[in-house]
Amino acid sequence: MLKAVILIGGPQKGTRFRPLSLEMPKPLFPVAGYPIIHHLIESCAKLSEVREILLIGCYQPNEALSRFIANAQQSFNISIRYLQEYTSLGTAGGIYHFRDLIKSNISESFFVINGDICGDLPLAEMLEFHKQHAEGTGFTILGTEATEKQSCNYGCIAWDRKTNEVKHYVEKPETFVSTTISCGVFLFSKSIFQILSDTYKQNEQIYNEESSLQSSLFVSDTQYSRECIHIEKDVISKLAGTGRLFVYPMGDRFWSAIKSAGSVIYANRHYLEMYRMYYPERLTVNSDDKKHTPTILGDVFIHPTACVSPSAVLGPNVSIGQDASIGSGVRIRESIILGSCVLQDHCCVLYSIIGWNSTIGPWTRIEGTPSDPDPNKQFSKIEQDSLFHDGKLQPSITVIGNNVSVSGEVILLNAIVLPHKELGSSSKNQIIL
Amino acid sequence: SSRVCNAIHYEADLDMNCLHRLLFGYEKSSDNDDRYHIGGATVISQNTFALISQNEINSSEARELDELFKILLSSYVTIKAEIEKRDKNGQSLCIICCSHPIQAEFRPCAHQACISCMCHHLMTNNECFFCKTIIRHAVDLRGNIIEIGGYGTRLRPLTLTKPKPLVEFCNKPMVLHQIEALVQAGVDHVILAVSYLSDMLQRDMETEAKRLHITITISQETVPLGTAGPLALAREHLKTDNEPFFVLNSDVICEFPFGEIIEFHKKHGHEGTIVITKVEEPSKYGVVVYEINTGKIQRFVEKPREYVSNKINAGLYIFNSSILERIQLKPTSIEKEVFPAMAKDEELYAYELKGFWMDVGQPKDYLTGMGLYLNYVRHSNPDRLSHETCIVGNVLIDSSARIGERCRIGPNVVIGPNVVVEDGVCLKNCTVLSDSLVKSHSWIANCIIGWRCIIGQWVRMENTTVLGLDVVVQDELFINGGTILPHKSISESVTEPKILI
Repeated sequence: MLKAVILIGGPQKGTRFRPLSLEMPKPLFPVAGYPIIHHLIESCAKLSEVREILLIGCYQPNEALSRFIANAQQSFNISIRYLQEYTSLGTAGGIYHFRDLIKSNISESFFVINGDICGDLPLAEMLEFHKQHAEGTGFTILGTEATEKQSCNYGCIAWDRKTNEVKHYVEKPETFVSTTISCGVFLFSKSIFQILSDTYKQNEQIYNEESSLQSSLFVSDTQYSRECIHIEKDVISKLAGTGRLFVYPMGDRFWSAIKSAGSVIYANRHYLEMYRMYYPERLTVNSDDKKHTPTILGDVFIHPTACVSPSAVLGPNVSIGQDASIGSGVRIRESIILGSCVLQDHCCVLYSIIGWNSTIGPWTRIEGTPSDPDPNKQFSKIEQDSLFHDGKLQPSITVIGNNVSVSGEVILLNAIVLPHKELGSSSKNQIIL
Repeated sequence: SSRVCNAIHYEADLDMNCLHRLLFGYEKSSDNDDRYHIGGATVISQNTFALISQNEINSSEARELDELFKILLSSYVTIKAEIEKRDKNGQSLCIICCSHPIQAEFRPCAHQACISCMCHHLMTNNECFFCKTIIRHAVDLRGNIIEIGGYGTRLRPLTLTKPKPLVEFCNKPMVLHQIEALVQAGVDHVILAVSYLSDMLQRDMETEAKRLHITITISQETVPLGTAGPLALAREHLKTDNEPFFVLNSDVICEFPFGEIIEFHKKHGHEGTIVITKVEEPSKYGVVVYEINTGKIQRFVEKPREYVSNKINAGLYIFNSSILERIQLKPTSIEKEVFPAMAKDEELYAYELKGFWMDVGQPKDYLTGMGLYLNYVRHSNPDRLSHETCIVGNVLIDSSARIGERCRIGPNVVIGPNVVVEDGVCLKNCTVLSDSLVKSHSWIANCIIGWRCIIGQWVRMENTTVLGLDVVVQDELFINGGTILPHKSISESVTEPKILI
């Protein structure tokens, strides 16, 4: 059987995603109506050989995660388990730690997928490629193209175009190495465990040497934790050039890392577009019955339990969550409205994310600025900009945290509002605590 | 021709020596370099460019070039001499138009030009021609602030397509508020002193004159005459009988108690009465110091640093015709020159205005004044205001306007003739001039929407946004303090106050 391991990280990760990740683990954040890892599990489940999915992360057991796993098991009819790391073990440390669980019953290879990416992942084709080129003792990494400048923000892969062999791999290089970058999706044969074991022993040695030099008051830093292994640094870059690591390029199929609110809106758009091809029943279609159904433009997902007034105009690229209530004359465009929100009459939401349980008053305008990739450059990715520039907040997607109440007739432009806040006045380019 | 030569020579960057070098390969005045003599002929070195020695130039063209330069040079010498002579006499020409003498300077940068060029420039710019400094105001050569523009520049962009007296305030042309009040007090001849005469104004005033059975004369100044000069210009009309005459600043709105003002004036029997009003921030204006019992004015203090008085000149006066002896036909300021002299002669008295007062010559004040006026209407004639279900506070809606469902209109809103407001619109503290359309679900506060505008759906406009004639704002935009000139289509939000030309 084939297994997939999805690395979902922990609360220390995904901090750029706040305030959305303050009360909900980032991997469970809904994009286009379904949690991020739901889309990843769905991609894996499309391969009939995949019978088990292991989620490895650092989150304490929580209700949301358990509920998600229970529901997902039922929907996909495959086994899904959550394995909690006792401390952050790095991207590969968990794989080594739980090696016995992963190794049991697998035929040859297994997938490892980063839990904060999204895309139209060609897992079947990658598996086919892997069987032909890397079967037995080889490893395959999924690659995509980026612009020269942006490639330095990712793991860069230098490869032989004829054999697809990876010659060199550098994580976030300072100078240009290659436009091909790692997607965070790997297909490892069982021999990875030997490599992990060797790495673990090496690290242990270094750790012991270092700690013997320190005083006994030295407090261990998780970065140098004995069991911490990183896929990119410790595994991939070592395998590059050995003739055992191959790259499968995914061409110009959609791929993006989800680091910030801006990338969520971008991913929302692309997943909704993908629904047109794979799951058209998820999209709401414009009906002729103008008296009872809202006007829909482009791709829109509306949860079946949401209540939308017929005079509202939604889209393009809008996702409405469970039990949301959209009042009359509301306009929503390029935005995500999470569950149980109430949007009152005549309000206008553009390029924003409205958190769970929030209320937007009548005639209020919530507007953000999209941070889309440069349309002039092929393979351009979303810019990973910092929050501030020259001391001022960069215009970005407006994020309203959960349980926020915004009164009527105000404007929130390029604002970030933390959860459980009551807002009575307008705000532009500000973070509201 | 001399006009062409003038134009060429007034180019700041033109240097005759450079031109000579370009044409002939050497500078006329220097002895150095690229020239050398071979058997009596002057030759220039191969490396130096000279237009005249290019292969493409034939000999007759070369002769023309020679001629051209000679003409330019001689006109240059002449012009230079003239300029020097004029500068000696202290009178230079405006270098923008080269036709009028320099008459004024910008402040704070002190660049000079003629008044006509300045007026033209100020219609669409507020930066100095030469250095791009923001212009605060202009002064004449003696340092007095002059009123230029008279096109109503403060109420741009509305006054770019309609003379200020005809711009509607609360659904009636501004000048008509004053004219109708004057007619009620028994005035039968109104003189409009303008600096720019438009056909629109002439025609409309002819119609109004017929309707009200009065005479309306338009007195146009061809050069700026300040605030007192226009009276001298209209002398013949004012001296017809020995009755006193009113002088009104056209931007002023109040209850216009002209009857009582006439009584007060006749009672004290002196030469002039100024209407004064109480304001909260008197130091922004000029204050009036006067005897409370008699009303006799003692003096004026311009922008006082310490509290002197809270009464200011309201811009409404009544004079006996003898005042015309004090005013000559030249740029004169009534506040700075005439009034102080009258106060010294103890001929100037103050009438304290009751009720509201506002100078509505600027968009922000226009909106404040609108609120005050509507409040006055509520107390004097409440049936004029609208009382439908979607109305909040004082709202004036023309009978030909159409309002949609589930709107919220008010407080302090004026809607002009033939305006259409679609469903779900919220309007607060704004004026919508005639024939405009506001589409559904928009939210508009503290704005002036011009004539024939189209505001899209889900638009948000606030912060004293002013739209000129025929402006189109696309759906879902946010306009925060935009000043939009006529015939413009806006397709992007304006998040910070800006002027869009």
